[in-house]
Amino acid sequence: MKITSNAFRANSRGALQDRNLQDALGNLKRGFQEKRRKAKARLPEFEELQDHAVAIKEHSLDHLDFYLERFEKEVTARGGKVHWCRDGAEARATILKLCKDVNAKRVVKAKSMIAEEIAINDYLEANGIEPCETDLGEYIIQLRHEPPSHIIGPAIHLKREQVADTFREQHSEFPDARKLDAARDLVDEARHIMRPRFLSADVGISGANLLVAETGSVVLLSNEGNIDLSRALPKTHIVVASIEKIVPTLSDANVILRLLSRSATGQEAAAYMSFLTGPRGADETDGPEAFHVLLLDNGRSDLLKGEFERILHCIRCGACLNHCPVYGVTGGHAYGAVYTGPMGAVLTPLLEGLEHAAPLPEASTFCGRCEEVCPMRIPLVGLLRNLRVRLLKKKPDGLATRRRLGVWLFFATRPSLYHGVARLLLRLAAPFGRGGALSVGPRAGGWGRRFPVQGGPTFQEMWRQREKAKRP
Amino acid sequence: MNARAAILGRLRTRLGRDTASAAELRIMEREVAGRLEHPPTHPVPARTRLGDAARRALFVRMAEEAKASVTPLARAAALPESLRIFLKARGLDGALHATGEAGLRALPWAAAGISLRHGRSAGTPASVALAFAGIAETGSLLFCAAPESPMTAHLLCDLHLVLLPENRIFATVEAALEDFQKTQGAFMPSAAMFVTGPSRTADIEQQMQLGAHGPRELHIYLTEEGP
Amino acid sequence: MAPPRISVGLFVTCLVDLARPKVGLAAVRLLEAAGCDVVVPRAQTCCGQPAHNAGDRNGAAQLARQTIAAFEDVDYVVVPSGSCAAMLRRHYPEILAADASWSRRAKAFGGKVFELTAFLADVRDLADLPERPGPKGPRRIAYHDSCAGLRELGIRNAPRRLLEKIPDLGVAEIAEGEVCCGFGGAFCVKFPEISERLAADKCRAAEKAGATELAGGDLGCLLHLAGKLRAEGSNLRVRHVAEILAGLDDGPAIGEPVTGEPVTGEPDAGEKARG
Ligand code: SF4
Repeated sequence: MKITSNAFRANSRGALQDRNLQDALGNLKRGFQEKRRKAKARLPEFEELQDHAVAIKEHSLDHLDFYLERFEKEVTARGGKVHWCRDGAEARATILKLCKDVNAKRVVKAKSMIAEEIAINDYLEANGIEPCETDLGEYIIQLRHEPPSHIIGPAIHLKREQVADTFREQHSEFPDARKLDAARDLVDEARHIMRPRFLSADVGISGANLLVAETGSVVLLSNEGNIDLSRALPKTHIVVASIEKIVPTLSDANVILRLLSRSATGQEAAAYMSFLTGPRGADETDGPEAFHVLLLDNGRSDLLKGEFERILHCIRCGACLNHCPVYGVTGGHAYGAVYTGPMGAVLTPLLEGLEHAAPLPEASTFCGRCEEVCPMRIPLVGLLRNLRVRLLKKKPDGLATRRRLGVWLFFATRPSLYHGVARLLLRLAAPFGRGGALSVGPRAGGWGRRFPVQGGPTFQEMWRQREKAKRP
Repeated sequence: MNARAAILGRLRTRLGRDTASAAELRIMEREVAGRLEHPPTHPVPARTRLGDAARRALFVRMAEEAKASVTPLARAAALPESLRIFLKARGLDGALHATGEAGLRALPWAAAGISLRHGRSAGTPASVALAFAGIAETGSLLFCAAPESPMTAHLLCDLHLVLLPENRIFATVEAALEDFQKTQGAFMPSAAMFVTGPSRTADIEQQMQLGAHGPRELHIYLTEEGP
Repeated sequence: MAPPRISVGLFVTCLVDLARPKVGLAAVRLLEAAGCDVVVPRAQTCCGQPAHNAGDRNGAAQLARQTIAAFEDVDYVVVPSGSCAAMLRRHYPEILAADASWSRRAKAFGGKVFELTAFLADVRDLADLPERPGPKGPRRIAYHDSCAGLRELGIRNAPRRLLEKIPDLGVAEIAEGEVCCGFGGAFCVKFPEISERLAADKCRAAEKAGATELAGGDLGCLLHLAGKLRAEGSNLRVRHVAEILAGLDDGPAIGEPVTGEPVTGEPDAGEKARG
């Protein structure tokens, strides 16, 4: 995906005017927030599990080299194959080669953020292979040629009627007059379309929620059952996973899994949770004959042991998006990148370069709700602030801010001067402030910059007067 | 340099392996190996620490919450007759796709006028299966890939009918997987799939719809006496 | 039995100093009623959040050192703002963590910093509010929890407990009260449309709470919301919680035109007017 994060301001303005989007976002907030709250309340051990999950991730990252090698060893021992990929280009080439090796015409894809990150669909298509998204939301946005707007609900920005229009436009094999007004109709139509695709696909591609070093297992969650179908039916299963998904053992995995569904959708468990280990066994009648796992770095190793390491703890639950006031009114597309919301505002600049995503670290009120709900306790605000430190040092973006701060700091670090100037300014402002408000800054029109300021004496001035009056 | 060496090299540099002494590295490796052997104990929800009856009740409650139905049966042998009535009510004939466990095959199907088909499924109105285990914490069923238990049997049917002996209900996912290791000799099956309710999606306006790509309904038959 | 008198340094905050000095007067009045000897060090200016949140670590550290030094001699530092209090209490120690000569001082300093309502309710366990020169009679106040106070300092009950000491006063809860009002310091300048939309949502929710007044502990949010409410012609009147608690709530609310003489420097002006 070509990122357009630098257009965040313009994108978000458009989003605020988009009625359909605003309606869709209304559903999102109330649904996800309430469900997560209830699920968390039902698990008294939630916070204890969080402590353990953070420790597991810390330990895993501290020993990432050991565990990745162990994972590779186990996958290989079970007859699978691990492919290491430095970046998106290597991952795309590897996937294409694996597909070509089996003469693949059609690939079924289960929702994967990494697949989005490396933009595999366009690449396969350009090379004559048909990529079929199978997750309903992902399928809808594939039809509409849109990027996902949410890490767990890719089509969350759309209303039912928009999906119906898309289906009418694209599913020409169905009668025009068919009924498509209920969500049920849409789900059934997609199910009908997808069945033969599952059955005829040559390769299944999925992401991974976790990798288990001890057993070489790939853990995958879904609600629709599409991931397991994408694995069970085609002869080849390709898993694309980023390197930080690794955990040492099954028991470690279960700690994180207990937090994941509850934080994501408020479910006690996703409808399908699978531990996939190697290709199908001897005499098994379904499952892949070839099992490939791509381990993708794509900039992550650079974050290890640095000030941004904690973002590697992210388990992509989406809770920070669901609770972010900014995401809640702009939606995901405004972020102009694969990863959106607070975690995206941290990750996108790190993976794509700050110069390509400069507005994102600033697009936060620092209200802290994201880190409050993050199951992995990732200090998202602090990470965004660290990015702002980098931004400030950059020319030309940071230059204007640096100048403004410099002037302000000159006064703020000289209290006597500061109080004198403040007093003077307010005296001057008093006549204008009598109406109750001063327009601060000329930039934006309308209400935007009107802050109520009274004018008159400062508090410090009043206090000095009072102290003087007290003295004999 | 190949990608593997490059990535591992970069990780090792970031993790300071190149500045660590050989002795330090050995200690570290021992620690990691030790942790793999004896993972730290993690919290397990207290609500799963229950006696048999309460664990069964929790399983039923959670499964029903996940929109599965649970029908108690005194004996597994009663399953075919129960399914005959169910299929008839659904207007289905007496043919069923089934997983191939001996215990399931041995039930009196013919007497109930039901014929079973086994093996890989390409889509069927109804499948009957024997679950490897049930999970009380979440109301999930565990299916493990095996020659007699293809995963498609659990995914390509509209009605998923599952036999679960009560004594196969475990408290947690961990406990069920541990049992697999102990009883089946292999460490992990090629697929261990935990199924919680019928397949579903909320991708359209956050409205939950059952029957996305997998089963539209999940009916669990809980027997006091296993097959 | 009244707790022994203690010395409290008031960290005024730059916004209160410049935009609503009355909040400072109210804070002093409340602290004195709680048996504190209040001082207002002149060597204070701003807590440094504008620098800190813009990514200027150096600037933030300069102001942190300046503030810490200014308040070295008091038992407690009290701040009529959740976000500035969080800056002093939680962020100063982080900012100065790498500074060998300051990190211990910053930690010790952080430990004695409290937000005003939390200090009154939890530290001083204030039994009676000062005599109220301000309005009497039944009223319903919607309370806006500002993000930093709520999440960084865990302040939720303290202001409500104190407000409920006022006879006939009821606190109305704003639906989805934990959602940000969209102020966010420089955020509201950089992303005015998003900020305004969040303010509008908050204003609607506050109006729906069925109150005639909106109170909160952070002047930043309150100025932002009052600006929006006035632009919309709403009747909801906005005040800092300290003004209401101290009974200094008879003059114009935040954003209302000043009638008559501007506020003078007398914290007991109200009492004089009555007497
Ligand atoms: S940052 Fe935290 S809340 Fe956000 S997606 Fe990642 S794990 Fe979930």
